[in-house]
Amino acid sequence: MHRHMAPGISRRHFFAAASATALPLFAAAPAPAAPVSIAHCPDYGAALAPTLKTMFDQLGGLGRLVAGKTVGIKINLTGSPRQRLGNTPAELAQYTHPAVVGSVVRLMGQAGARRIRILEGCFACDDPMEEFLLEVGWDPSPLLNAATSVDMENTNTLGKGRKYARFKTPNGGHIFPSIMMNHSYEEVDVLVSLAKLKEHATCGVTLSMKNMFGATPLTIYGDHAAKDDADEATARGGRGTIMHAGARQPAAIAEPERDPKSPRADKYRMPRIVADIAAARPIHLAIIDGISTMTGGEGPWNGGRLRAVNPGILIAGTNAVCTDAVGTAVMGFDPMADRGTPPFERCDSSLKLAEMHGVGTRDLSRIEVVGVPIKDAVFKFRV
Amino acid sequence: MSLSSSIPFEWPASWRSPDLLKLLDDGPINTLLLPEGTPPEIRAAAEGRKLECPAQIQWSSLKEVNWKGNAPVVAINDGVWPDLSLKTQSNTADGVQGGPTGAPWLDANGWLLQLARCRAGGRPVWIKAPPPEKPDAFSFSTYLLAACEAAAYGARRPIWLPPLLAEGLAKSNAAALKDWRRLMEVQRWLESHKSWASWPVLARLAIVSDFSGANEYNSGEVLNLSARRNLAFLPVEKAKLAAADLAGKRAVLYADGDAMPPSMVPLVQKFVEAGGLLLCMKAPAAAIRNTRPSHEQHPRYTLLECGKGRVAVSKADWDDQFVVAQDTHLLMSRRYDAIRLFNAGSITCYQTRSADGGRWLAHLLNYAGRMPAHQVSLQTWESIRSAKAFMPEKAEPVALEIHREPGQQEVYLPSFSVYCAVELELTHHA
Repeated sequence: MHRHMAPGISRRHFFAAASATALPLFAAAPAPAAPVSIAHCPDYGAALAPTLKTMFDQLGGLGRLVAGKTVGIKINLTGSPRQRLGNTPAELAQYTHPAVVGSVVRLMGQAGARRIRILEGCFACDDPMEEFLLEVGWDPSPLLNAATSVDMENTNTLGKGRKYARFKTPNGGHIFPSIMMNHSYEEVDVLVSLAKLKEHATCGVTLSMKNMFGATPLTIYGDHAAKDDADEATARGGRGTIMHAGARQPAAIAEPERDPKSPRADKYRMPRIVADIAAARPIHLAIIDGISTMTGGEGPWNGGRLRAVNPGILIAGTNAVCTDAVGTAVMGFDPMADRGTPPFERCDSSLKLAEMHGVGTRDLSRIEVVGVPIKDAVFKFRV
Repeated sequence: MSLSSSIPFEWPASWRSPDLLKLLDDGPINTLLLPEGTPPEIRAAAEGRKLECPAQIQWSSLKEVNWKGNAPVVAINDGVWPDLSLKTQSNTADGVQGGPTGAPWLDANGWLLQLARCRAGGRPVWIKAPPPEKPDAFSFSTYLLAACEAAAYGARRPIWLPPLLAEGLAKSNAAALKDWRRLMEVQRWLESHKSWASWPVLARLAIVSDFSGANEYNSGEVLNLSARRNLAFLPVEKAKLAAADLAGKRAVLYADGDAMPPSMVPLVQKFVEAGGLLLCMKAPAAAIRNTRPSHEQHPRYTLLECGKGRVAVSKADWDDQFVVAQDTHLLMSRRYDAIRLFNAGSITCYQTRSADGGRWLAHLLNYAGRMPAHQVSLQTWESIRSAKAFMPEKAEPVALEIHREPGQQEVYLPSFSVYCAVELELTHHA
C-alpha cells in the first residue's frame, strides 16, 4: 500500500519534502496507489454514520489519520444557494449533503481530532459560511456541535487569517507554478476533500480533486480580483475570467501562469488547474457523496439533460487520484479515458494530468478496492 | 366614491369616441383619468355610466410629494415599468454552458410603494411611470405585472394601454380584445383580494429615517437594495417611531447620519437592551448608553454590547447601500428570514401577515417578462398547517402539499406567470 503522506509525518515536513522533490516534468516513477473503499448507503438516515465508520476502518482507521490533529474538511457548495435542480434541494443534487458533513465531523471528533474546520469558498460572496448555510436552508448548529472545537470558514477571502498561504506546484505546474489559498489550508494538518459524485461541464467529472477548485480565493483568482495585492472587497462573482478563460492573470500576490501563451480554452485549462491544485495542496482523505446526486453536469445551471438521481454510493480513499478513478468507474466511465472519450469528450482528463504530477494512479489494476466491488457499485451516469 | 376604492383607467388620448366606453361595460374599472383635450361628450357619457372622472390628479415624483398635504391620493409618477435587466451567460461553441450566475437586477417598485404607504398617512397610493420608450418591446405580461405589483403592495397602478393595444381595441381587433379581457380578468381578481392590502408587513427589521433631504438618497437606496435581496423590512419615519413598530423586530437600521430625534432614543435604548440590534453611523450611536466593547470583529463595523443586545456602529459613513443592506442582513442573521425562496432569481417577495398573526402571505412577483416562474420552492422554519397558492390565472386557490423535513417545511409552487400569493396557515401563533 502506498500513501501520499504517511500518517505521523508532520504537515511542515510533508510540504518541505514535497517542495524539495521537484520532479522533472513529469514523473517517470509510477504514481502511488492507495486503497479505496466503496459502500452502498441508500439514504442519509441512520445507516450513514456506521457505513462511513466501516469505510474509514477499511482504510486503516480515522484515528491514525486525525488523532491529535487539526482537520480541514473542504465541502462542495458549488453555485448559488438559491438555485435548485427543479425542486430538488441542493444537498440532494449538487451540494455535499450536510448529513455526510455532520457524520464525518462526528467520526473525526470521536477519532480524536483536536480541531475541525469546515471549509468552502462560498458562491460569489464573502459571507460567513454559517450565513451561507442558512441561505441554503440548513441550520449550521448541528454541524458546529457534531464534535468539540468545530468552526467554519469561507475561504474566498483572508477570513480569520492575516495572510494567504502559497503552495508550490510540483514540476512547475501545468498552468500555475504555485497556488494561493486561505490560511486554513496551511494551518490544518489533515485535509479532507468531501465531494459529490458528479459530471462536470469543463472537467468531465467533478470528484475530490475538482472539489478543491473552490478553494481558490476570489480575492486573488475571482472575476473582480484586483491586479496587484489581494483586495478583500473583491470577493464576488465567479472564477471565469482568470481561471476558466485565462483572460488575465491573478492578483499579483500570486504567481502568474507559467505560460500565458498556452491555450485559453477552459476545457484545456480547467483540468490542468485542478491537477495543479491537487498536487500543490495534497488531499489526505477523499470522500465522495454519491448517495443522492445529479447527472448531466455539476449544477442546475448546466444545459442539457440534467437529472436528480440516487446511486446510493459512498466512496473514500486516502489518495485523491485513486479515489477519483474509482469514482469515475462507478459512474460508468473508464478512468483511463483520454480526451475524446466519455466523460472527457470535450476536455482533458484531470485524472491523467494529476497522475502526471505524481499524485496518484488512475489505473484500476493498481488500486485495491475494499468493500463493495466496482462492478456491484456501478451507476451509469449516461444512459 | 372615495378614491380608495377607485380602479382607475387612463383613457387613451387617441380614443375620441364615446362608443369605446362599451369596453368598460360589466368590467371592474370605475374611474377614468381623462387626458387634456378629451371631447366633452366622452366625459358626459362616462358620467352617465356612473364612472368617476376625478379632476386632475396631482401627480408628482416621489421626491416632490407633499406628504403633509391633503390631496385625496398620493400619486407618484416616477415609478418604473417592472422588468428584468437580463445579463445572460455566453454559450460556448459546443453548447455547454458552464458556471453559475448571479441574480439579475430587477426594475421594481416595491420598496418605493412600501415607503410611500409609510409616509402617506393612510391615504391611497397610486403609482405610474412615464410611458415606455418602446412600449411594444414589453410583453403584455409586463402590463399585468405592473397592476399586480401595485396591488401586492397595497397600492394602485392606473391601467395604461400601450398605443398598439389602444389602437387595436379601437378597431375591435380580436387579439387586442383578448388582451383587454385578460387585463380586466386580472383586475377583477385583484379586486376580489383587496383585503390583503390591509395586512401588515411581516419583517424582523425596521429601517428608520426621515427619508428626505440629505438622507433621501441613502435611505431610499437601502430600501431598494434590501428589497432586492428579499430582506423583509418595515420602513418607519423617525419622527413617528413608536414602540409598536419595534414589536417582534430583531434589528433597527437607522439610516441617517445625523443624531436620532430625542423621542426615538429611549425606544431604541430599550429595544437594544432587550436583545435587539441597532445598526447606525457614528453620530447617532452616541445616544445609546451603557455600551461595552464586543469581542466580535467586523471589517466595517465597531460592535458594542448593550444589555442583551448589540450596537453595530459603522466605521465610515455609508456610501455603498448594497453593502449596507448586505451587512444588515448578515449582522441580523438569515436565521430570522421568515421565508426562503429557491429558483426565484427574477422574483421579489413581499411578506405580510394577517392581523391575528395566524396566517402569512408571501406576495411573489415574477419580473421575467414572457418567462413564467417554474419550479419555485418556498421554505420556512415556521410550523405550518396548510398552504395555498393564489394566482390570477386560477379562479380558485391551489392547495399545496407540505414537504416536511426536520426543522423545515417546504411547498413547491405551481408555475405562474407574473404573480402568486402564497398563504401559509401557521400551526401555532400567539
